[in-house]
Amino acid sequence: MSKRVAAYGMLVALAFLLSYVETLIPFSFVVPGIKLGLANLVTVIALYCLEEKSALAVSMVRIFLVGFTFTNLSIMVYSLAGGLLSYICMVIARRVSRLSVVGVSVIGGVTHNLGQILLAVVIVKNSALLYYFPFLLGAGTVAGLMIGLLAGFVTVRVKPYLSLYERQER
Amino acid sequence: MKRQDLYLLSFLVVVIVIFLWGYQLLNHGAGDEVVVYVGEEEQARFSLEEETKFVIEGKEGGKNDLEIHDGQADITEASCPDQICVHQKPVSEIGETIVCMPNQVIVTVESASQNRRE
Ligand SMILES: [Zn+2]
Repeated sequence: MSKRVAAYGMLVALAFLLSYVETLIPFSFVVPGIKLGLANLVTVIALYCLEEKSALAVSMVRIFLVGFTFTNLSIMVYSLAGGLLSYICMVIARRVSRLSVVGVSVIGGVTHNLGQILLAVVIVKNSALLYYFPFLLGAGTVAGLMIGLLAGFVTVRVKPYLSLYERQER
Repeated sequence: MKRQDLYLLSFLVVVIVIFLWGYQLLNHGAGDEVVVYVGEEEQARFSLEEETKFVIEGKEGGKNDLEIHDGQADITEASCPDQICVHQKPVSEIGETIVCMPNQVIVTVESASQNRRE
């Protein structure tokens, strides 16, 4: 149990760090309010090293922790929309498609941004926001690609340790 | 990386290129009007040719200072916590948009002459 908690803690801490790094990148100069989603790296790693449930738990804890630390509730709902949609799409892509971790991560990156812009359109009720769609798609693709390649490297090295924790649980 | 990953990437690149190409086709040239929306409601409309300063009253008491100069519209100051709208580039081409999510303010460039033709 304690080892498993340690693994989760490590992933959440990494996600927290990445989210902080992200606040330092002036990426939003290009697209308003939308984050690159670097912390998705942790969700992808958890998805491939742990179970689907664990990936969801890690990503939700991360969103709430980061949300309350760096932003507020009205901004956090966007992370939540992006995080949930990308999680669902990545789980489906991993199960049914023949994509590797890179492709699944690209799906995650793209849908992460898609979830945020769709929620923005719903909240603001103005479709002028869809102007940003192709830029978000591009940003999501690039972020997803980088995260996927990185997650590929990390997964190979980390998986033996993390999955050991999972097995000891049962 | 597998072949399927490359298919996915190529597909996304094609979609992005088609969109940007569409923008080029639809939005060629400079606009002449700036429209200010708060949420779904149009709050004001200005000519891009006149030098203007205007305070936009956004949602929940938020304020954004709009300035029009040299044929460009820009948000120079804002009450929002993220200041993303202030950092966005000035806009002048049709369809270009500045957004302030916290105040739900949208500033977008249109073409009055094109609207009249329709
Ligand atoms: Zn703003």
